[in-house]
Amino acid sequence: MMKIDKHIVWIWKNLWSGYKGFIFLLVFATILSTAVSVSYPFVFKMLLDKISSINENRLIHFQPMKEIYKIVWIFISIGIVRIFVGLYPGLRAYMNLIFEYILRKKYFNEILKKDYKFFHKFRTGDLVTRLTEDLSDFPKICWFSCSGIFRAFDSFSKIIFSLAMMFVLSWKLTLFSILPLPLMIVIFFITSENLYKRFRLNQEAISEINNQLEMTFSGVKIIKSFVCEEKYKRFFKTALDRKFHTQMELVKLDTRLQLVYQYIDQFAQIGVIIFGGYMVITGDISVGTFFAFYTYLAMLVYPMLDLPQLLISGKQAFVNIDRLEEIKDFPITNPSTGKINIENVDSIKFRNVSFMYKEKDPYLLRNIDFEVKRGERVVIIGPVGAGKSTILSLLTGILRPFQGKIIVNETPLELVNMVSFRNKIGYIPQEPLLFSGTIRENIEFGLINVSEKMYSEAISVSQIEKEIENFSDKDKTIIGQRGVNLSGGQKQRIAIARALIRKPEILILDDITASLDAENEERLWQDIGRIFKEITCFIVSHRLSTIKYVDNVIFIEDGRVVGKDRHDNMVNNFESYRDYIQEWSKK
Amino acid sequence: MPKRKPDLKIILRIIPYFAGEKKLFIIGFISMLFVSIANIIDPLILGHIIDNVIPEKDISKLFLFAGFFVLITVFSGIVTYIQTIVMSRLGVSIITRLKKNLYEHLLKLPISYFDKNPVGALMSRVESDSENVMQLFSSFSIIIIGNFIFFFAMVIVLMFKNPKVTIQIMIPIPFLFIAALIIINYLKRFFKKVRELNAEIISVLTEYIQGISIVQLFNRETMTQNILDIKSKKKFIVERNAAFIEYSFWSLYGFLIEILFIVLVILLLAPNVIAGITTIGTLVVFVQYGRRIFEPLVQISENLNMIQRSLVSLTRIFSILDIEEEKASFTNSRVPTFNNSIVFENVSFEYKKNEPVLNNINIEIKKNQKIALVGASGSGKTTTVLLLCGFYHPIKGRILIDGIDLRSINIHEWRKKIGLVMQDIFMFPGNVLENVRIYDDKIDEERVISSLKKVQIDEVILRDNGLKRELTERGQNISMGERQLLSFARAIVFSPEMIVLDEATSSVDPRTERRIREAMNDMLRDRTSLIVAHRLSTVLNADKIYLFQNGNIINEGSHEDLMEKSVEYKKLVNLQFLSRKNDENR
Repeated sequence: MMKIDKHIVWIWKNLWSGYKGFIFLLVFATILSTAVSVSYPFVFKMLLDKISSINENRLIHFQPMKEIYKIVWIFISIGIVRIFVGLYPGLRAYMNLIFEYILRKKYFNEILKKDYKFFHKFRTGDLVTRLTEDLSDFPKICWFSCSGIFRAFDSFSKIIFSLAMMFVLSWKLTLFSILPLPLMIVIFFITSENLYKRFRLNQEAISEINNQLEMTFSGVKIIKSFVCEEKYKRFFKTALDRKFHTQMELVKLDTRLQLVYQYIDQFAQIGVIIFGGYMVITGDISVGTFFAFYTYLAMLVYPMLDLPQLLISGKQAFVNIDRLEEIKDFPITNPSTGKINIENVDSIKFRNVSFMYKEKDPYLLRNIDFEVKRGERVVIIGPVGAGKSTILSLLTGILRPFQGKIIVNETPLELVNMVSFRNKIGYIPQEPLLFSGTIRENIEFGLINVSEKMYSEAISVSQIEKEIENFSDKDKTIIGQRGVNLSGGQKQRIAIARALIRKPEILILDDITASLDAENEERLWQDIGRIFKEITCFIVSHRLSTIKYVDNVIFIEDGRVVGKDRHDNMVNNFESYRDYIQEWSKK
Repeated sequence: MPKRKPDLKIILRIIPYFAGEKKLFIIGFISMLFVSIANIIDPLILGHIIDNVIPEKDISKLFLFAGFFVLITVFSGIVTYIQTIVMSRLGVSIITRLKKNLYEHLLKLPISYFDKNPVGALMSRVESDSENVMQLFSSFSIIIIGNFIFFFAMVIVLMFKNPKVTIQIMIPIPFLFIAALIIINYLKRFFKKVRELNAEIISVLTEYIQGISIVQLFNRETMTQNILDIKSKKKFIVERNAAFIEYSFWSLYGFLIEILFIVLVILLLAPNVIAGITTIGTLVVFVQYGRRIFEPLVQISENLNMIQRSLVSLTRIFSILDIEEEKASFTNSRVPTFNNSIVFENVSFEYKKNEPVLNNINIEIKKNQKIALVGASGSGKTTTVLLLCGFYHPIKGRILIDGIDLRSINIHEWRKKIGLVMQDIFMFPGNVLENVRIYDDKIDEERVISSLKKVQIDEVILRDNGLKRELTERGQNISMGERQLLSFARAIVFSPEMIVLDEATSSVDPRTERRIREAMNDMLRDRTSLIVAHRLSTVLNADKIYLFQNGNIINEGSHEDLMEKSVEYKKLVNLQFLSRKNDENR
């Protein structure tokens, strides 16, 4: 019972509280719709009784058809009301759609705030499922939150109204016929835990399938080149089989419940036939009343079957709500709460910074200590796995130090407003990630007030200008997901332009040697020196020649800073550095 | 435009899937028949009670008929249960097979297809589109077919009771049916649009979640939200408009069906009842049936959305299944041998029309040779490699393996001979072991460990849980250099005849690179290799170097040859060697 409360509260807080007016509208429409439905049997009763009366007493009724016409008119007027009431499901559908829109927006928002730990745990395919299938498909969250609930209310009110009418017609018969009905409710509550569990299992099976799909299609070149298709088919079949199983388990339980409800209801009907028929025979009630009663009981069928069905889909929706909340509740390690804005970056200091990815991991970085001043260019050099890229991630705030502090202009990074800080950073990742859109859109990447000068400087310095000109659509050339049709170098240079166009104070190049050849690199540094004079640069590189373009070298070994100095001094003072460089140059 | 025809065609194509489930289908169909019969009998019993049992005041007969009711109820319940389970099972099993076929077919498609279709869209096809087709089974089969059976049975019974009235009632039915079809047809395009927008939303979500680090670092959260918002809103508007049209129509329609129809029945039959020609019971039967005569149409309308979606989804699925496999672009499937040489003969290629990437290139790779491709990025080197793997075909010219056109060989056998290390290193979500051997259990753990040792990454990689250490989705918990080495181990562990490296070694620090080179020299001693290099240091020991510029090969030869005769080559080399010269002077 407690579980239900939590989700209903969620539905209220996240959805309905912003649309209170609609609630009243929908309630009114529900009641009206019920009134319309409930009036039919009654009017029918009138008709049948009228006809019986006509048959028995021809003398009283001079114009029998005229009286019948009166009843016909009543039907038609109810019908006209019904046309308007018919729009009521449309209103429900409308609210469903609004909810879908709201929820997707809200939870995507939540995802955008998360850090690396979150993305370590939740795979892309899974997250996408939670924001699409979990929301919009029937009978998931959005359907349930409006249509589901209001159909339940609709059913409930139909039941109440029908019972009321039945009571008015004959309280004795009512009591006889509704005896078995409470059984339905009892049975439902007994099975609901089981239902919930099966829903969850099924949902997980769906997510697993989506994960497999994403993995397969993203890595299809590898799969083909290593001729692994057969293995992947096997994996997929396993995932499919699992879903088959979980889905059938759901169907079986659901159908069994339906059967039980159906039986209970049908036996109630049989009760009506026996007792009702008896009462007509003894003259207690009229034929019209008997028929009306029978019809009302039949009218109870659908809502009575519907209600538990809706409670079942509620369980499904609750599972999906839990999956959404899981996204929101996942903690952001060290969320940035800093408020101090950074105007200019004069210096950056790492003071005794240590870092590891997870609590019990061995330290990746230990007691990192150095200072970089405005306009300085440093290259971070060291063996594979030494922690170079991690230093860059710490600098940008993507990772937080486990110990020690990073200080920007005498202000510790925790107190800095990260938005203002990141605005000053131009970041170029190892793997240039581009997005679907035109080249220009990728370079501007949402920057507003971009002057032609800014744009042309950016593409010229990043050495991509000529190639853009050579494309038939020039900068309006569309690049596919992950920039597929461009070469690695071209993608990288677009990423560089994307960083430079923002006129950053800090430029971070996280090992672009893979995709920027030596010639382009030389021109890049020349142009940066020309146009972006005061820019502070942090570079991770594996190309010896990069040292030419920087002021200082930071040498990292085993997660510690061995030294920071000019290259010549480093060679003179540090044997390990000297050895390292010698190995490098022995090519 | 004959829009109905494509629907029928699509439905016909799904029929073979039923063939494998004949038993289930027959049981399901028979259950549906019985359910319909049971539903027919109820009102008849009621009518009989009203007409005969009650006037006769025969209580024992009342119990008798109640008894019939019980029997029919029990029977109907069981049969309904069977029907539901069987039809669901049928549906799920057919969908599962469809998904499997779709997945397997997708894996056979050429790489160019994956270039054009984002991952998110493909996921949508296999998972959500298939699930939509499922609705065809639950809604369509059970409800609609069952109701049509019911409909015909009803008409027959009514004809027995009062043919004249029955015929008069039936007259408006075809018109109503056609009106419903017109609306259904009209709404089709809306639902198609909604499906498309849904796929776009999935694409956007996939792309920006994958690229979340860039989004955050550039403070582009708001922009990303807006991008999603625009698509979400579009979908909302289209769906809302469709819902408005749909519900308005069906509301009016419902009025016609229920009210006017009942009025019709009353007006036609009441006089007869009064005149004594027909009984009240018959009137009751007509009304009871009448309310349900339109049930097929009502059910269609309620499930309309789903049915439309199903058909659209089914169409999209079959259109993918119709795409030619990669294999089809190969003219033969001869078993390839590689004993002599690989020759690129006047090969030209372009990804997009009129934007050539390779122009008439000629390369010869003799067995056991080390061939290097150098040049500025974007000059065509990676494309050359992709062509050699058979991912694309040359527009002009051919690639000959031992004199046989690559296009005519069995491409799977050829790819098995190649160990490919690409620039874009893909890490599978899984542990180190599986990432190296790509889930091939024929390769045992020792071999994996020995490969890791050869690329000298064993200590770094094997900390924590060793081989069982979980790597994240995009390999984010190991460094770029480590990833490179791991993908290298991957290439080696399969013991290929030829190794193709695309700029793979350039992202590694010199110390480790040297270690790799040592291992490489071991491995390459008895193997052919094609290395795409940015860094000349790795290429110095190559037997032959091809210098690329803008898709053309402008020079070729050994390093010494090229230093003498090629100005461009010299420029490239000097850039690398300048710093070394400075170093040597210290």
